[in-house]
Amino acid sequence: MTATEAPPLQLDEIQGIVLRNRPSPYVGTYILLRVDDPGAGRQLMGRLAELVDSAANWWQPDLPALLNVGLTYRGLEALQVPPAALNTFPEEYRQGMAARAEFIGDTGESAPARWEPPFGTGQVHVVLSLLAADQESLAVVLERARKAHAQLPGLQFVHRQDFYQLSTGRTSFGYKDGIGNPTIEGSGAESPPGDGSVLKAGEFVLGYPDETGNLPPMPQPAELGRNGTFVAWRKLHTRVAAFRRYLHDNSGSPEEESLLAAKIVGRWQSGAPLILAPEHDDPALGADDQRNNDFRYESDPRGAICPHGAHARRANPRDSEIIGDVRLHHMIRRGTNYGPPLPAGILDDDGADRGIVFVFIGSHLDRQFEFVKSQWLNEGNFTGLDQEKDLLTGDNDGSGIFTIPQHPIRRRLHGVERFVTTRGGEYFFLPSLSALRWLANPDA
Amino acid sequence: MTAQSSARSATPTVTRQPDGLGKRVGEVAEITVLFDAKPGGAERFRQNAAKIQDDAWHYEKLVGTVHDFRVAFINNDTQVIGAVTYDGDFKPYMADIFANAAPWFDEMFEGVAEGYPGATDPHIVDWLATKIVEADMWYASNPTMTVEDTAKAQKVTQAFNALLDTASS
Repeated sequence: MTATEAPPLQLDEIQGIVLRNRPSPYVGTYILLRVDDPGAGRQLMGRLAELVDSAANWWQPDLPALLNVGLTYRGLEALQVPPAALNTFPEEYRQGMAARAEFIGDTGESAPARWEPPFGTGQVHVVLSLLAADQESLAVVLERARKAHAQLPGLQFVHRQDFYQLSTGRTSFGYKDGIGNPTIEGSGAESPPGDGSVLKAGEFVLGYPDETGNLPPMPQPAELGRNGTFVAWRKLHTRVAAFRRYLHDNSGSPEEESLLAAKIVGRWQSGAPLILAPEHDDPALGADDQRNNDFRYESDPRGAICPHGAHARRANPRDSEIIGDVRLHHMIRRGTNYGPPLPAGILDDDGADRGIVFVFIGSHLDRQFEFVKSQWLNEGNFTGLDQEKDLLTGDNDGSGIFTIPQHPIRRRLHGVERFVTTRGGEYFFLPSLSALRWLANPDA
Repeated sequence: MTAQSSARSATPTVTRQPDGLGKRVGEVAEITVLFDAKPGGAERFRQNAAKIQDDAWHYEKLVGTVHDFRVAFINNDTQVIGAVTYDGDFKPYMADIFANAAPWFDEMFEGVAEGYPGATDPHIVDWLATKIVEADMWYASNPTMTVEDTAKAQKVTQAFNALLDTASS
């Protein structure tokens, strides 16, 4: 176990979702609201300050349910936050995710013009995130959320996105997810062994030093910015049948198919990392939280075991030799699943909408989320792969390639299409509990 | 012009960087900055020039995306130009560059460039952005070759020649 120092973080000020792992199994929903009347929006913030869950004692057993809140920049405008404060928010947050589409690869089928309403239209102002261990607990937290926005006609409900953990405990692509969140200095918790790095709290929470030794740029006044953070929220449709067919068409047997999939993902379906289980899946390893993230890539500099282009190695290259500094590009991820699973063995699309609600949390939308998306997943130069993109999540167009280093000659797959399509997304600011009170009366 | 070069594919298009700073062609981009020099700044720089030059190999290797970088004092040492050719987008790697090569930038510009906030200052990128002068013309001979590609191509050529040498010996 990696022990961190006593918590200097103000845990009772930080929203719970920032540090708390989700329960397993889990069920939940995102409720999206539009603020038509600033007074109503401010009342909502005041009520939520008393209702949202903080990160206090976050390492204790899971709360049965968790209520948290985020705001888009349009949401802050709708609350009529003074311009002096609005102008202190980072540029990419102010622009919003849709405006950043070209840069992060949301083009073609993933372009904002094709997103599901209300995403990217400016109609999403507030998100209420409700996460629970079961339906009964969800009902309780739904009631809390209802109390928060009840009898405020100046608020408009605009969308609801349900999510739940599949019975397999895996993503729609069939892989165990949620492994490998960073260890945060001063969080007071013990983390399962990882690559050995312990990251400065300021990478994930505003108001604390980050990996550069500086305080991250923070919205002002300090009461508004401190203990807050940013979220990139994305609804990602997974083209599971197309992915399975691609694996099938490029393999000679079920065993080959399984190995090819592991080369693409960097882990086997159980969650066992390829680098620790090079030949075949090891479900006991995958299920063991003390072992399934305890590795580095130093033994595999050429990618002969885990390709440099494998999804997990791209998203966190750990100690791999790359262009740039891995410490500056870590992400807290809180992804969840939506839609029905595609039954095993089916290679034809059934038309159902299924996928992942990807949630990034961190202090730097630009050098964390946008960097990883644009430089590590939609590019290959950082790791010697030129224009090659991530096979699983990259913005491929049918002409993509995937390189598998092997002896004596590398194997290269061609004709990679897009297996994940963006259906919508927003950038949110996750204020501290004190900031929610500030937002209830921003003119004071 | 040779028949070979005229048969090449269409002329690459030079555009502005997607994030709006400097010019871009293919994988390669340029940026030029113009600072006012502090009184005595040029002398200070030149006193350290040999070390700055030596350190370049170390720090640029860490950064890994820079093709070339030059610094020149102009107008009777009252101004200083920095010009870089590098790979990819401008903003994404700035944090990495200043996090890893801060001592080198400070060695070059502390006490030299007017208003220089220091490479570890959180607002260094914003300050730098105000100093950019965009090229009005820019030519890059191999716009699809990154620094990484060039190094790899060199290795492949050397290995291939070694193979041919072995086969013919």
